[in-house]
Amino acid sequence: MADRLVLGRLFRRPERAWGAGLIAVLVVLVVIPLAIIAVDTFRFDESGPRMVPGAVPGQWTPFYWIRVLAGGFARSIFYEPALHSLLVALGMTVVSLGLGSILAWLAVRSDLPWKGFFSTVLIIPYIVPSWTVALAWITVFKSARFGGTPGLLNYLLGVDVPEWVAYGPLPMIIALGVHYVPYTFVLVRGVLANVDSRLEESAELLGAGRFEVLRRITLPMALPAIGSAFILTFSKGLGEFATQAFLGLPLRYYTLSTRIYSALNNRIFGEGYVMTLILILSTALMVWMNQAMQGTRKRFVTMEGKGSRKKPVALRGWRWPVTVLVSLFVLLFVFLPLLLLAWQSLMRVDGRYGLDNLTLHYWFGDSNPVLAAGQPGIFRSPTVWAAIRNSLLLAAVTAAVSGAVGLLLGYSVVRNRGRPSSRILEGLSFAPYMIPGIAFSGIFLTMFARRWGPIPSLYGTFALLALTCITKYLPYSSSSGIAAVHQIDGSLEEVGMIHGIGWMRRFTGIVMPLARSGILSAVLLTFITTMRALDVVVLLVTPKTVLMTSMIFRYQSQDFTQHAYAVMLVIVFLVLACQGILNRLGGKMEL
Amino acid sequence: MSKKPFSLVSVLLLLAVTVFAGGAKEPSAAKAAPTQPAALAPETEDWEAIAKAAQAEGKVVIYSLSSRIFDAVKTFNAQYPGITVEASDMTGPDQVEKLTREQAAGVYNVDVLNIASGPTVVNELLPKGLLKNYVPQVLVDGKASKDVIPQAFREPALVHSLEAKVVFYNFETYPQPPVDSLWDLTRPEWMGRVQMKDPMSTEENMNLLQTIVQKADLMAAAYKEEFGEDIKLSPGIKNAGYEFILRLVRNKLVLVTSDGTASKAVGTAGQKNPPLTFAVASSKIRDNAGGQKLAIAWNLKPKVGIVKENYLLMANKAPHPNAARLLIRWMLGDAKGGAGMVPWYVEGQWASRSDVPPVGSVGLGDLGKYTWSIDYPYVFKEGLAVRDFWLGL
Repeated sequence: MADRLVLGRLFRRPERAWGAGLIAVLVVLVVIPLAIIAVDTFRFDESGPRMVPGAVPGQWTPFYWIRVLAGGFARSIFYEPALHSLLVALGMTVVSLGLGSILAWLAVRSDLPWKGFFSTVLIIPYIVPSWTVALAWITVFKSARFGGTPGLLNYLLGVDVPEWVAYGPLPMIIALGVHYVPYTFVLVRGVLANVDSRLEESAELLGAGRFEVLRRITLPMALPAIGSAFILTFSKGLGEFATQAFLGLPLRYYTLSTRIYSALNNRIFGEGYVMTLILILSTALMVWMNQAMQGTRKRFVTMEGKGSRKKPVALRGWRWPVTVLVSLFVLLFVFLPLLLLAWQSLMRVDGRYGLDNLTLHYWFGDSNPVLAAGQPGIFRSPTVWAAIRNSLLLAAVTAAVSGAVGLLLGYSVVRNRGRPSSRILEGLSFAPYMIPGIAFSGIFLTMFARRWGPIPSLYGTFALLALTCITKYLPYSSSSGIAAVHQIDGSLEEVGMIHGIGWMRRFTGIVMPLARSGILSAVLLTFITTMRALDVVVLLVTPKTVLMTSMIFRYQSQDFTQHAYAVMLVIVFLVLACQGILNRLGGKMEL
Repeated sequence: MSKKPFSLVSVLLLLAVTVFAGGAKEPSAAKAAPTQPAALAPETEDWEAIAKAAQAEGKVVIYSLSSRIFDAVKTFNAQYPGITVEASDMTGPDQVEKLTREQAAGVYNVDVLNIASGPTVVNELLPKGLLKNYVPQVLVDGKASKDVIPQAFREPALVHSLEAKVVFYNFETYPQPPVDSLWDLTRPEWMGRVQMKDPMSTEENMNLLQTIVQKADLMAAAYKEEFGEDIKLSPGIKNAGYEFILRLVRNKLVLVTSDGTASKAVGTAGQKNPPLTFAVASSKIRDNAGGQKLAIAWNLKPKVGIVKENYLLMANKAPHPNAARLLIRWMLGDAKGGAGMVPWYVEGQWASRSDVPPVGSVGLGDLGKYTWSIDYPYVFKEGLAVRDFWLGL
């Protein structure tokens, strides 16, 4: 569609030039780390001699591949955890994509009351760590057998909840699914905001029922975004560690990510990297399938030259039942976990739910040797203030740069569809997603610790932190950029070309405004994710570049639970504030 | 949206920088070489000269496995104003990863490491020279280190403190320890009621299992003492150590993500059937001040657990060697557990100085009676078999 005018000359298609440039950058930032990982799977690491008599570290070997895929332990190292991972990732994707899409549609297209409020608070489950929902789940469903404070159900009704309800795949799917609802919500919302409601209205005029409109008009138009949201969520589900460990370990229910983590942690790199590569390859396969599907299916351009209008769809009789359901969801999965966090940050003695046990000490108090070994409240700690500053700066830089790169990349990919470079670029931009954070930052540390031509050694600098986060989180923006540009009819730009309007003005005057809401969604997701990043940055943080997440880690490792939760709540607050600012910027999001 | 020009510029910058970088990728590590280490003071330590040189260095960088390092930094700063301490708290595996990566890239950033990870430190980092063992001859209170720190804690690596990984029970529900043998943990009444942090993600818990396998004979003897008959090994099981692990798992051992989760499950007050757990003693006993009811089942047969060393080591080519020596000496503390040792002078943790009185009932000298120490060469070489056994369960 976009290629109706065949314009071979490069100056009219500068996106090919920067597409090639981006490929070059990504080769350095993504392919080299991947190649290092891949090569390492074929060589004995330091653990080699201990596993295979006579092995020499560095020596070439298929040992790790055989061990993981065909050895005596293959079932327990790989196949069983892989099955578990697939089940959990698929389940959580269905939950989050289902709920997220419905909520996004309600928030953008329906006459649901209090839309602004719902849109804002629905982001929260993604801001707090994924295990917060898991924690809330356990607080309710824990059975006495596991000791400690009994679960709420057990305490109130005396029932002993079966352990498969409290632990294992079911709660994992629910906790992770809920955690990623905001993720799919934001992604799908960005697309729906761009759909011209007249398409839906025309269908309605032609006699289509409301569900038929949804099924045959709205859904197909949102499908590219839903497709990429599916892949993003599914791969996230494969890589998620904390919740899977928290809810899986008590039943010894292992997943690929818990296996990878333990291999890397025990410095058995070969084993961990083989599994990592398999994860990356399977994700690449999905990206490719998504591309193939989008290639064969009709693409739907939703933004063309004529004016567009958005009239909310009336829910009529469904309005209040739906409102009650959405409120219930918000209450149970947004406010309950948040309330638990807040309450626990106010407990003088951890774990005692009583009004007399409440204190603001861990927020504002001066050092008191009786409480938390004299650790002052978080706002009394200069390190926490420095961390707040650093985290905000890092998240802002990462989100802005990757948002911009994502848009350029998306433009280049979509407008060059069918060319191999388009496919390569899309694939490359997605690869960092699956590399475990710790492996990724380890390789970046080695690569950039020394001077490289004009780039000075980036060791210990803020720039290295930013570069790592930008690369690692690029997939959010690139996939949104691709989905957003997908929706823009090429004819809009052709009009500009015919009028001799230069590329720069076309891009800034036509593409950017139209793609804005999609890109801003990605910027928001990147911002949140960077604010929460820990494994990606843990090797790169120095005392000067301390981040809020490293403070949480520090507090938690000392069992200063209240401090940790307080910092977490500060992150929630900051993200919500920044979201407000972003919404102002992207006024067209019509929240 | 005034972001447009900025984003374009940044993209171009990124592009330019990286494209150039790709073309000029010759190794130039030499340029990133650190400041040459200042000459170390002579054989007999002259602490005044060291302190003076340290003041000139002005800085010291430490990676520590405990956030308590920040408390030690405060006292060090009070003692030696003018020397900035740049402290980072990191888990053992992260420290190892960072140190290895840095030195492989020719960056010598860190001076001192306060690290556990015994198997890797003793078998890999020290022999390869990434870490150096440095023991101050004279400590802050004038005592000679060879008189007060046992040799095993000076060689091959200086031990800063010791922590025990032991079995805890709830002393409110059980005024007397409810178990007297490790084998009790495999009895039906404790089915599903023993917890521990996942040994696959925690080195020292795997070390505990490895040590139990190494001490299979003692485990067999303890079995006989407990049940009055010789142990019958399950098919394919090599010894009583493996048999114990097998039975522990079959008895529905509950794995958790942190020692804190496990110790809360055990120590929360007001429970009818609290579980047992293996956990690190030092950080958990402390919570008893907040009403937790944790006690250590010291008299378990054959032993109650293991003791692990936290080392204090100098990095290879430490850029601030004199300040590093000063900091190491400071952190070793005095005979009262004072000075730089204060943050670690808590119940369940022991200073490596034998003249420091213990905080709890068990002293450094008695530790060996109740616990095993980890045989690092053994767990390093033979331990992966235990890990594989665990994987296959």
